[in-house]
Amino acid sequence: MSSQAVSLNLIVKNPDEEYRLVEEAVDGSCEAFKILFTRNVTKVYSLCLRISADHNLAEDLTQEVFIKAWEKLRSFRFDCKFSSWLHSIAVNQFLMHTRSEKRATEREDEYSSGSIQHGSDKQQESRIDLEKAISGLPEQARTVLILHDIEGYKHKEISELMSIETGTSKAHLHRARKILREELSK
Amino acid sequence: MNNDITEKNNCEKTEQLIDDYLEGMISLSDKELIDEHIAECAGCSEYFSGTSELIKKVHSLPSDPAMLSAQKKSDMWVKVESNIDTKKYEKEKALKLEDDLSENKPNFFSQYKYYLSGIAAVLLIAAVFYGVKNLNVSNDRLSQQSTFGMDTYWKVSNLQGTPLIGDLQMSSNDSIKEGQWIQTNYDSRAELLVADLGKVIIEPNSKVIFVKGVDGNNRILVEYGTINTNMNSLPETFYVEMPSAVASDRGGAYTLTIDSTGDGLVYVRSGKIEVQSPNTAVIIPAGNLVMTRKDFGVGTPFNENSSVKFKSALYNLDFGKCEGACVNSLLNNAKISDAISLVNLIPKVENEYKDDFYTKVANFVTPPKNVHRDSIPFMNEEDINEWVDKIQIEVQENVAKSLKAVEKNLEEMKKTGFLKMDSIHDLENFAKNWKFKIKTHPDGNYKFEGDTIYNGFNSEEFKKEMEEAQKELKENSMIDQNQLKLDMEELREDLKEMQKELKEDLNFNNEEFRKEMEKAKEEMKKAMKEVEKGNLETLEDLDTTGYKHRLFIKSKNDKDKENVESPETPELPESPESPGKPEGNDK
Repeated sequence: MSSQAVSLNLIVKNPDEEYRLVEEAVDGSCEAFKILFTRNVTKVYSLCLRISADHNLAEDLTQEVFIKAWEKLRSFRFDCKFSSWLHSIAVNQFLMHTRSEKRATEREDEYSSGSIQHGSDKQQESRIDLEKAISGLPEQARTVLILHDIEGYKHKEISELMSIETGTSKAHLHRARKILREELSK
Repeated sequence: MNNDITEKNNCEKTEQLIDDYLEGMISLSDKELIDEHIAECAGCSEYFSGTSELIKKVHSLPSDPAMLSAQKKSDMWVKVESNIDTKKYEKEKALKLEDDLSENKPNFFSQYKYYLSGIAAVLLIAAVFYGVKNLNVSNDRLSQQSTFGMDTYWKVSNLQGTPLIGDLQMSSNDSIKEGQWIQTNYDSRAELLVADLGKVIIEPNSKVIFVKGVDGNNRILVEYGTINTNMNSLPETFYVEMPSAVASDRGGAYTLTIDSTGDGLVYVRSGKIEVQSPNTAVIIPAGNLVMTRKDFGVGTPFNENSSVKFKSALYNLDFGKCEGACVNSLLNNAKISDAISLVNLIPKVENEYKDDFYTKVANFVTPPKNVHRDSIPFMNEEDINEWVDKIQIEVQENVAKSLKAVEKNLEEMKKTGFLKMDSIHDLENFAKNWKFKIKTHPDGNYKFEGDTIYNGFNSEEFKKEMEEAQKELKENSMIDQNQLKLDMEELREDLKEMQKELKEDLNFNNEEFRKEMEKAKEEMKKAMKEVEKGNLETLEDLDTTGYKHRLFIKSKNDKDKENVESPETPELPESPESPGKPEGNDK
């Protein structure tokens, strides 16, 4: 099926405002783009925070993601959801950032600072432990785990995004899960 | 000890495979091995359940756990908006600069007109000095020199949607310079004015680059997508480069499509064009198409009404590994409109087939005087083109003749209300062969006049033959007169359209046409596969004869309706910034 047919299906399936907003934004409407920003900023920020494990960096990345999206809006062909497209830009921005900056691996424990949504105490505690453990994972293993287990990417897609082999992606996931199990069992 | 090592290896291997196991991405045999191992090994069983539980926990994590205060969001938006505003300003500035450059172009000449006229004077003196005959400078060269030191600009305009020039949005009245490219998406179109030579419509999902040819002529490159050209240029002044060939205009209009693999299809709507690849050059007259394959170059031209059997054999001969079977199929299925293909094939086929091809074409259209049978081994491009021109005229005359015959027949039907034969050709052939005048009679019988002209025949024997012929004619006359009338009228309309098509530059719906071309190409490929399988009998089902003709009628009558349909288009390459994510992955 052609990309156009896919996009038409998506429009039919999702007769929401997204298509109209994107089209208006492509025509230069800042108002339309602001609505898209407001609807997606939390999700993009959350992803950036998870993969970077750094509040300040996550903020910077989120802004970069939306600036990049504005620039490349014309190349968005509705062959995936707009939020998915933003996610792929976010992952790209993060990988570009880590490649160019070679940032130090030391990070603050961001998830203990109360930035996580509230649930029941026990659930919340368990979730915080898990989030902490994830944030402590080695960078590549963490990124693969987040993309695969939380964001739902396939190994093939991850390998394309991160420019690694599919086998390497699997190995990172295996390692990430093993470390997490060890951390959570302590 | 050895047993311990084996056990350890099994456990390590099992652990590695558990991830795939839990995703269901494992072979049945490996699954059985793991199941067996887990049932026996407490450690691996614990690892399996632990991993399974961990994945459930991780899956349960919300995709947006972080809270962002309204103030934080607002601060972030201010930064984003400020950046966007800066980019918008820069873009507008760049567009304005390009507009200014475009507008200022004539001023450059007026500013340096005295300087240029000085150069012209020197050139004139030099020309006189060395002799005008020795100074063979073409108009194009002079034109090129007049732009010395300046970029060449062509005007472009946005016809629909938002085409891009490079990274910038094209305005309604824009310009493009050498090296820049125009890109259209699924709903945008652009028009490019090529100097004073004509225009090129860039259809949706296309990318075209304005390249300067090494010889200074006007040249564009179609990377992918569809263009429609309509040029009034002199031969060899405008070129369209494709991944495997170059089309040069010879004063005509044509449509050119390049798919995502680099293969192409060119359809000539009026006039003629030349398509060249490293080893081949073919002239394609109106109503004909030619395919280009990335790894092979240009194929043999074929008529839009060629049968599927003919086209599939031609495709196989050009791009496949086929000789004898394809040659026979071509010769058996050729019609007069296929003569152009056959002429072009004479130099290409093996020596043993050349004579058959020559005979076949000569039966359709008499060869030019200088292209006699003895000259087959020496046939050159000029000979072929001369014969092609003759064929083209003959085909056009045939269409006109058929139209006239049908109209005459219809007139006859109006007068008498009857037609005694199932086609005008039968009627005409009968009269011609037997040198008879045939008059139709209201009661359905035939009367023969002037049998004395058959001197030399046994008149009794002839009468018997005529009686038998009359019987046959009576049987043939048992046809539905109303249906026949309808068929004849339909045929007349079809022929009229074909005649128009041959003479006029069609203003048809390009999107629809491109769909038709892609369909034809697909069908040809499909047909080729069928030929390979040996299922020749089924090829009739794939017949696309007259697809262009159907399109013409559609585009004339149902233009508005057709515009609703979305065309299949060549895939655009993925943007490196937008690898995309499959539908449904979004949480």
